[in-house]
Amino acid sequence: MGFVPLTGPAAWEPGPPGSARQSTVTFTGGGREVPMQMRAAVPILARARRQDDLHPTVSLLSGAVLLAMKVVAEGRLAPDADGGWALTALGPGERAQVVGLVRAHPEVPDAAAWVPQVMAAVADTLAPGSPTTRAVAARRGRSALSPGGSGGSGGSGYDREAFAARLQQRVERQRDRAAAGRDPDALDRPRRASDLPHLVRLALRIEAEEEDLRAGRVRLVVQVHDETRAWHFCDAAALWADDPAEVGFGERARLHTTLAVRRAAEAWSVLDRLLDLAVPDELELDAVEIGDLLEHGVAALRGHGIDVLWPRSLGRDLVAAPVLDTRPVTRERPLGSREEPLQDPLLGTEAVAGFRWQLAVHGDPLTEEEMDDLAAAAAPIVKLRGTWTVVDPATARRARKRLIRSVTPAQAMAAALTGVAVLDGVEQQVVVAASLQRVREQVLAAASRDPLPAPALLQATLRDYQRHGLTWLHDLTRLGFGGCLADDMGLGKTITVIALHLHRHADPGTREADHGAGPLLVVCPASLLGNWAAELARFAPHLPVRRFHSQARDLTDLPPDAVVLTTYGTARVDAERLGAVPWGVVVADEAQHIKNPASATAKALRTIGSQARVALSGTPVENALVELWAILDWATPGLLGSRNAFRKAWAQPIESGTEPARARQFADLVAPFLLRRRKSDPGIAPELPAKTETDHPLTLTREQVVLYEAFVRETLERLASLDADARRGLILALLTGLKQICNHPAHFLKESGGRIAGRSEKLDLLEELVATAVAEDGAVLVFTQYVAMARLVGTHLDSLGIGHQLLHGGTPVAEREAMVARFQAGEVPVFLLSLKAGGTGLNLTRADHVVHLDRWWNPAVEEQATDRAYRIGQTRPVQVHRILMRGTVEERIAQLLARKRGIADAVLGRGEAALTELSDAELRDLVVYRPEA
Amino acid sequence: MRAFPPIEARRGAWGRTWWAKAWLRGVEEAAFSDTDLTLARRLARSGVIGGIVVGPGQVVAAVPDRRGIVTGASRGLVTVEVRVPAFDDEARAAFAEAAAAASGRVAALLGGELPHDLVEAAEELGAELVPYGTELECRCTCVGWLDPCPHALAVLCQVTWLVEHEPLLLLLLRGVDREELLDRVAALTARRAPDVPVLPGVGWEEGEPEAAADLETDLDLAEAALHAARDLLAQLAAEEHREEAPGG
Repeated sequence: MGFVPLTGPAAWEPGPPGSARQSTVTFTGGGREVPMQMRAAVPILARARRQDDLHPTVSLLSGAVLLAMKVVAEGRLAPDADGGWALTALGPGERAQVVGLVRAHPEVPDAAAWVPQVMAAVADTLAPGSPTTRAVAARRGRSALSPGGSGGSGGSGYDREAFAARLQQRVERQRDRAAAGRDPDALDRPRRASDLPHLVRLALRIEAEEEDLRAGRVRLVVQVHDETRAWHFCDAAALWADDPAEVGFGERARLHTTLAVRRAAEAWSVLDRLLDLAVPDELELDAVEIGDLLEHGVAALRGHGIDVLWPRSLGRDLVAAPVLDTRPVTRERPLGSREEPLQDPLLGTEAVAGFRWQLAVHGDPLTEEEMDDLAAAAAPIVKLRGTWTVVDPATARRARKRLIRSVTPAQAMAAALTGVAVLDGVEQQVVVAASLQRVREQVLAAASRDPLPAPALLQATLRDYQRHGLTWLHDLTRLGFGGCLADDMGLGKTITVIALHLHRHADPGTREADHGAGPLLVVCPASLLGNWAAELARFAPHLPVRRFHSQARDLTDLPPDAVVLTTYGTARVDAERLGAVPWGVVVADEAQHIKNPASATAKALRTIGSQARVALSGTPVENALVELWAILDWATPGLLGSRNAFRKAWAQPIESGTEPARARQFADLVAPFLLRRRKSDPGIAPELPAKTETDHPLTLTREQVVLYEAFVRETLERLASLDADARRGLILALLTGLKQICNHPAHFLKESGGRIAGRSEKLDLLEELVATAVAEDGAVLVFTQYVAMARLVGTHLDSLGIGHQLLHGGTPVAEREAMVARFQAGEVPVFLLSLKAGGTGLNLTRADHVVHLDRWWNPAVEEQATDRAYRIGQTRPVQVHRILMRGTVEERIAQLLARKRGIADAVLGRGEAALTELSDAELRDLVVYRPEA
Repeated sequence: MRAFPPIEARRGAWGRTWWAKAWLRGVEEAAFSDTDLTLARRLARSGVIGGIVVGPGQVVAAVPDRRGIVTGASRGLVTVEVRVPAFDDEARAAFAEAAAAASGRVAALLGGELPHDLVEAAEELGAELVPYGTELECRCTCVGWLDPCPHALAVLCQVTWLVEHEPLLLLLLRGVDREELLDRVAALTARRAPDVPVLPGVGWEEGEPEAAADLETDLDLAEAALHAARDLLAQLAAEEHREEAPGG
């Protein structure tokens, strides 16, 4: 029967006049539509009553069904004028119930029309067959439900009320006799013919002798059962051969049998031939008819309550199951899927995955030869392994055309992981053949097997979980699949990808494959380009790294182990050139940028081919199903099917929550391609350093460059003509101005209002960091030396809808304490602080990210600020992000600090004041803008 | 005998089934002119003809003549009586034999259908079921001096609609009712004469005779519906009881 949705609207479709039993109820809900004939719908609607969250339409239908059942149970039904069954006139109490039922469902506009139709349909459905006589034609407009609805008139035609009265008498007499039957003396009384059953139910028995089977025929024998006691039966032939009473049936049993055969012939027309016989006792079926019986007859007859019984000697358990295999098949058509370039199917370039039908008898698979024999046989009953076996036409067709269809490796993997596939429009269980089973196991084990060692050329030690990440990425990409690495920010996704690239070029399996390991393309937001370059220089300084960005767009003579860094914007406009390179791996960092598959960026990225694709994301993606689809469909095209198919097959059933099994299946499918570790996961946190520091070198925007260069030129010119004191003041003003320009043009220009976004990468990066931290339920401290900059950031966060608060030197102490309390309680995710407000012993351990928007040039001061978050009471690792602009005074001083620590201490011990002592040339060297060549 | 209430004004086809068309053809053959037929058809559709009674070999109905289709009718109301020659014993036996030859034929008749092969087989055995024009013997109380008059034709046209739903009426017009047919067919299909198992003196103790077999057939079906409804209601009550029972 399956699961019928009762909480969605149901539609009522009445049958034609005289065939109310052909009415249908269509239940909807949970994205499904379940049409049902009355025969099946009546018990469901009758039971629905007990549920309390029914849709009003279902509730109305249910009420009408129960009302009608009570009337029928009292025997108040009779033939109607159209050749069907109808209820007799309702009493005043029942009419009131009908009116009440309609009034109780004002939401159902057609309630008043539905209720009488449903009630009539119930009467017609409960009777086993149509009446043989009509009621006297009633005048139009009169029905059993209208007052005085009897079709009474003189003559001998059925009068409904009179018919019902006869029925009543008959039932009462039976009850009386049953009561009398309990009297022990009554046992001696002979049974009377009128006590014997008249009403029958049919079953069809198949009989076959050896010679019949050889000739491809069987006999179909009609078996007559007592309608109420199925174990009381005889052959139709016996019913006619003797007096029916001898075989325990009443004299009308023959008539009812013929009527029942006629109804059966409506279900399966071959039985029409029985009606041509004087006694409908048996038929001989030829091969074609047997095939038709197997394909259509059995199901249609079961719908009419008629069973087909097969002899035990005929084998019936030959079944065909879909098997997923990589057996080589002739390539009839190329394997292309949608607009993506074909990724190398490393499942074996010659072997293509495909679904095939595998036949089995008693669970033993047939050999190819046996299936060929079976396919060649014309008869539906064949001798198989010494036993006559029934082969239904669907199975025979499957034996004939065993290949169902070829699939891409990703589709094959999806089926292997879920164990189901949609074949011929129906979802079916599939058997996964050994060759694919091995690939499946490799994919499943990738994240947990013994991890690979860190590549020898990597200038860092990988933590255990990073080695697991590397292993997972390598195993997937080696097989031609992609994945989404969605670890929490700070767990080292960048270094894992660098390690992957190094490993691919060291591992013989990938290095010596057809296309080699290939270069690596990293696509990321512009604000992360600097960080990628810095990490590459730090962990793999020998790798040739190129930026494919702004003016520098050169892909000529690319070494095979090169790493190319580009932005989403550049990838969008220059996809064609990027697509011409035979990439090993393409990485999409902050992959939420491609979560909208209709966007030009996502489309462009899909055209760039590679051996494998890796998506990186610091935000959890597994909850927004459609976004997850977009990311995984890019990484492993075809795994989740088309967007529409995905919506129908997965997103709707899972989001509606009605099919928990579906969600589990989805997890099985997605889990191998999605690796997400959280800082709080057991085994991860202890491995993490308590504090990680990351430098984020960024690039000035065009606007910033113009401002920066003009300000430097103008100031240096003025310096030449000044005395020492004025000179010191101007140098300090120069440094301050340059730092403001690096922060944001609006900061330097003291703009209030106006556009903020897109004018400084510092703000763009901050936006990325804050968004990720908020998604991880983290909290961020943002330090700047300038209150004006803090306000600018605040305005920008407002426009993004991110909660924040600002603490600066002028904030009253009481207010400071309230702010700290709010932040620690997790009410505000972003805390902006001016560095000068430090020193008051703020305890901000709720923060797990610290961002230094601008540099103090005094490591001790920065440490002190960082320690607000990283101190006793902090349970989570803290990430420190230092932002600086490349080619500017910020970068120059940071280099000075790093390279000549001792000198720097000496020089910078006094802070910026020391810089005022520099000569013109030294100063020029320090501040002049020098973009990379 | 079957009495039908008056048929309301209606439009549309006269007959869709082959036997209704065959009956109508006989009626058209009986008419003297197309004018009469046109009048008769209009009258039959108008909804003014009274209830029709169909008995063995006979159709009777009252027809008002308000519109003065036929002049001189007394008080605007006339009575039509049509007679059809009844089957003789031989023809009755022949028809029953044809019906018994294939079990589906009786089933079809009871299901409201007239199998064409049944009628053909009966005809070969000498029993022609559908009357042809000259077999329809019409009488009307109107002053018209031609039979059939438009009144009679109108009634016969209406009978087309009745016959369409109940082909057994054709048999009734030949003087054979359902019960007789079923009894004859039952006797023919039994390979051995049935021993009547009813003991002497055992009928209904209340003294009421059992009704005709065909009514009992329908009562069997209705009784099955009644039991099905009771069973389902009892099942529901049991389930509800189980749910309410603690730990159930």
